[in-house]
Amino acid sequence: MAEFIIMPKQGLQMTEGTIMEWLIGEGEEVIADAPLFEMETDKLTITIDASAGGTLLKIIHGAGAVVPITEPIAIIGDKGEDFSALLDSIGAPAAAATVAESVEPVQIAEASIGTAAVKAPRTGRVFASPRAKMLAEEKGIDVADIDGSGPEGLIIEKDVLDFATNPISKTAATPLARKVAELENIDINGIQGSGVRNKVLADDVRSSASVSQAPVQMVQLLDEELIPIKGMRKIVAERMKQSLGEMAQANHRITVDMTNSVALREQYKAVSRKVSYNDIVLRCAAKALTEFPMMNSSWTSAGIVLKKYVNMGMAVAIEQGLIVPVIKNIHLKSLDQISKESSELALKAKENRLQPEDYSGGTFTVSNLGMFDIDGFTAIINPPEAGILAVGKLAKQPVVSGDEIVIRMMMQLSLTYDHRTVDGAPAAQFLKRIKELLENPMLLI
Amino acid sequence: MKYDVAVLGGGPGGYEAAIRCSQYGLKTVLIEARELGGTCLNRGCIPTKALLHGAEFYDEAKSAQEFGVLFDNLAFDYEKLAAYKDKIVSRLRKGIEGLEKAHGVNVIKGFGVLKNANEIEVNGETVVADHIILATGSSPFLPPIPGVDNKSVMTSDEVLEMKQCPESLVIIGGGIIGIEFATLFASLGKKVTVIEMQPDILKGIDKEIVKELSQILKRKGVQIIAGAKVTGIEEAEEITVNYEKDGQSNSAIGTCCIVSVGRKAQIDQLGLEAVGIKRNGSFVEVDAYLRTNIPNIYAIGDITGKIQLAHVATKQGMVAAENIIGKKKRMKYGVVPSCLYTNPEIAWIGLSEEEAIKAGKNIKIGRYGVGGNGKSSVMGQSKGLIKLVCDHATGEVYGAQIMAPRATDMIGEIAVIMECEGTIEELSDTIHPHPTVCEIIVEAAHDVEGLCCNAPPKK
Repeated sequence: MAEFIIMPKQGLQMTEGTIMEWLIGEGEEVIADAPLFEMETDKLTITIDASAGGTLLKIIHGAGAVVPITEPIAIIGDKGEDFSALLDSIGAPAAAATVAESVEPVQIAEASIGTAAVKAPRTGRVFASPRAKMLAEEKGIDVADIDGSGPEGLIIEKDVLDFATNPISKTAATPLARKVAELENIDINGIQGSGVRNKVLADDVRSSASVSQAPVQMVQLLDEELIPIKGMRKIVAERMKQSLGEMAQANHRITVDMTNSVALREQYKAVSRKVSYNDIVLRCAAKALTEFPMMNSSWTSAGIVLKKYVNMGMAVAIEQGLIVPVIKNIHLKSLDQISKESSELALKAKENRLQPEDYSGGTFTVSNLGMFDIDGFTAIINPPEAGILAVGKLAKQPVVSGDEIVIRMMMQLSLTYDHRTVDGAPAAQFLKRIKELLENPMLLI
Repeated sequence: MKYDVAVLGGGPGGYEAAIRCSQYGLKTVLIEARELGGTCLNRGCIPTKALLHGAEFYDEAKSAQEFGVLFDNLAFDYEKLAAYKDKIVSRLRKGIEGLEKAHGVNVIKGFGVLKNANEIEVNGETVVADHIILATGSSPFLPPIPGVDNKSVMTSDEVLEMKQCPESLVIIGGGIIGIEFATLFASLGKKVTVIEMQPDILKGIDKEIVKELSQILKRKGVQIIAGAKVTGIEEAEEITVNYEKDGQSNSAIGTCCIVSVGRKAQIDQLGLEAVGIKRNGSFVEVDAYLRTNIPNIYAIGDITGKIQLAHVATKQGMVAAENIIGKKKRMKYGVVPSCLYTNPEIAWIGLSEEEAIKAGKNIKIGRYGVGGNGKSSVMGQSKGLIKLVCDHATGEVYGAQIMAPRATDMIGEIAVIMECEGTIEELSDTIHPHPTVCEIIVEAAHDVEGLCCNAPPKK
């Protein structure tokens, strides 16, 4: 039976999404769990898999369309099935779909739908997808200068990228001028041409090069490369800056004797159950958080939100940057469960398979750099959480026990906390409690 | 009479400048002391080419049996050729007169002399003009050699008036004019000696081409004596030209002697001093806009001492006309083709290989021999070659040197690609018609990258 495919909600703040590309064409077969379309939110670009199989009967919103969450974007059903009733039930967007598919969107829009709701020329406003707007702002481009290729002239991300690489129309230049510009690494656009009909000549390029020779040469000498700030890098940068900008972050350090935790892990190992040191840290931190609810809170404009559950974030380094998948309700989970979930999430992160729910809703974060031989470090809080625990390496150290120097397995913990919500003493007690638990893991029972 | 523009001199520079000014809506007068068309039409390009065409026809007829064309008693009548030349010149001259009239240019026959910055006196009357273009041209230069004033010593002016062909000639000066005369008379079977002061004839042309041409001329019986300084000319029954070469004194004998060592500006008695027009040596000084030091007076053509070619004078005339109507156009001399009407013809433009290397350019050369060209073979021609000189990195075409049948008609293609700033790649990508001689251009363009299909691989 024919049914709608709706704009999925990806993350808590998402209100609308922009369809980037349909990976399956109308009339083509849809395979359950295989990629169906690409979309972008203001946070990320993702590929959405089909939830069910069938035939893609109708694309209601084509590439470039911005659609509020839960609104129909396509119809799926059996091949040849009549879906007109379904289409009629939503009315206007069907007309918009016609527009999206047409080669000349604007003309058709004016000719065939007199009642079209949105049209740029009417209000003088420029319509652009949220992501396109963000990108344009980032690149210092006025969206009004860009021609939109989406439905009804909507400006989508691709238009901004195209405009950035080749603004407005191609500059008229002689073949030699283009070649000189290419070889000298000069942007030919914007050079004043002195040839017939202002065509840019080779000498125009050369003289523009001599004007700006110094910086151009510097770039060549240093062999620099410009990486556009986008995607994960941009998100990480914004969140870290927001974190340090908003919070009053302070830091405590403590050294933990891990001998008993090592012994615990060995006991698990002896019965063929795999548990990592980090899992033990996660479990101890979770238990401590239930005892120190202020460490498991969020500072909001309405007040401090105390959370009665612990969703533990674990920072994972991946190729593109950093992501923090979350073990939900970790305070209710056994060490075995934690171990299973953490390894699953880490694998998903590395394979880029995390779904938004996998990395949202965290209440506290543990970051471990022990595997990189780091003794100890200061982490930055992942907002809106109130703290983050940084875990250093586990290593044998000479330790004074009584009046003797003995060799113990030692590890450094570093707690960064938001001093707006948590003061130094309770933060110290919280950290001390984690130390206690790690040094006496039987207390976990 | 009051005019917007007065053009002094009706050669290829002046006559076209006058028409262009008239096209721009300016009331224009053209003042010419002799015949319209100037040196080019009356005593230069056109008559020499008419004579050369006849001589080449005769030369090729000698080997026409191969094409199945059979003659009995093949003979040559120079007087008739001279008459043909005069007919062509006269017809073209009438054409120019008609064009001036049709474009509304008032033509005054008479020697014009500047009185002040706005007045020219001609035939006792005063012509008043807001702007003046000086285009009075040049005449053959006679160097101060003892005996140069002998009766049988001629310049190109007198050679072109000859009704009879001399039996043997000594040509002083192995430049374009000297070599064309050598080609003309050698083709007619006359004994020709060329004496050149420079180490080689045809300065500025690719050495490989000069070498090949020298061999062709020698085979025709032309004796070339380069690196020789003429010390005197003696006239008796025959004419004896004495010269020194490598410290040795020697002499060449002929029934007449042609002096072709350059041309001098015709600016005496023009009244330049009365107006205070600045000179640059023996020429009139002009800026890039072809203005003299007097704001409303322009100068074009041979008197500017830039490049003494008809087509340069014509272009200068166009530029001067544009500047008179306020277009602020600069004259550029970088893309100027030159032609030499030998057999085969030679044409060149821009920098030669040697010039480019000397200028410090990092170049690549594309080369192709006429021997590999189908159309040339059909025409019975196998001599010649083309060389394209271009930039190693950008592919900018710096110049071309062509020795081939109809080379002079083909050099225009290179001029266009240089003017439009095309590169060797565009030239290489352009489909050339087959079978034509111009295919050698695209073959040479392919050869720049070593990708010429119609030649064995480069070693």
